[in-house]
Amino acid sequence: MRRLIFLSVVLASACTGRAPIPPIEVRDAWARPADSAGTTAAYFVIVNHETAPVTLSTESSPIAESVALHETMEMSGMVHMLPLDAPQAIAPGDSLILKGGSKHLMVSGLKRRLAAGDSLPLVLNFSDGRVVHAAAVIRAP
Amino acid sequence: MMLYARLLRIVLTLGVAGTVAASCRDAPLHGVVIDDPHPAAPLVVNTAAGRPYVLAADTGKIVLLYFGYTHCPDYCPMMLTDWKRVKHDLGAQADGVRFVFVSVDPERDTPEVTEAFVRGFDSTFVGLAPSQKELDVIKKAWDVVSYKEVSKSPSRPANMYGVAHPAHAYLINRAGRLQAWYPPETLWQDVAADLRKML
Repeated sequence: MRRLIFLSVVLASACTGRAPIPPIEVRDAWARPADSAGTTAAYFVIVNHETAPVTLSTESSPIAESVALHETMEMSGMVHMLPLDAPQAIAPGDSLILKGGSKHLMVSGLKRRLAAGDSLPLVLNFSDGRVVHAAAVIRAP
Repeated sequence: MMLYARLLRIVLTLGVAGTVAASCRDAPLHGVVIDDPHPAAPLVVNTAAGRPYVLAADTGKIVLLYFGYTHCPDYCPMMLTDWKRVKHDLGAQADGVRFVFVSVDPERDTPEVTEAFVRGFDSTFVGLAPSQKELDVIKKAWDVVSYKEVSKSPSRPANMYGVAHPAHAYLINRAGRLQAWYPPETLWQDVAADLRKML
């Protein structure tokens, strides 16, 4: 029965010409341009299509010295950017949304300049050992 | 009779249009408006070109001013993106507006780095990086608060810190007086409308 479902998914994908949706999906990844050695923020949505929670534990990029999940907060008229050191659990069917003025990936110490149209490779490590590779499109502000 | 009716219609239309235009001009500004605008505090910072930027020399222009830092990957680029939209929306009128970004991170931001950062958004934006000494004077004069926020995590590199900074932008009118503050939730369209009204 499982084989039949798998075959159906493969055939459906082949018919529609679309790749099957991965169990952990990274959508709409983008980042702002930045100079070499500079800093940028990457934004995206991680969707957990599985029936069990998944937990994002660490992040990295082969072209950056440091990648870390941060959250921007406004408190009493001041802007604060706080690191989110705790792993981020995503419930089944739920999403982790990274967007402007909120949670984002802070990417520092870029090894090369990122111009509009380039892409920023990202590696997302989950606590169960899975590794998801994503590419954030660089968009001009 | 028909001619009279047509004339009456034209007069009424012009009257309504005039009233609407006048009420738009008289509409209050967005943001937190200062009822009795007082002279903006002094701001003098050496630029990457070696010449000082003097805010008072921009009297006659409207100035939008923001305190941030270049390693701020989220809020500051959002503000500068909004300014870029405002400038584009104003078209040629934008010549009467100066957009000034002042870094509150003297440890990492040099005049060159800050200028390159803001010019990534628009080549006319002014990016200033005061020295610690200059910044101390500016913060006192502008009643601005900013401070380093260092992560307690040992895995974070020491130079990867955040800087808490004011969320709002300042609007300085053509007389060099502080006219309003724009909280971050202010729409760029509202800022553009205010500037158009003041130009």
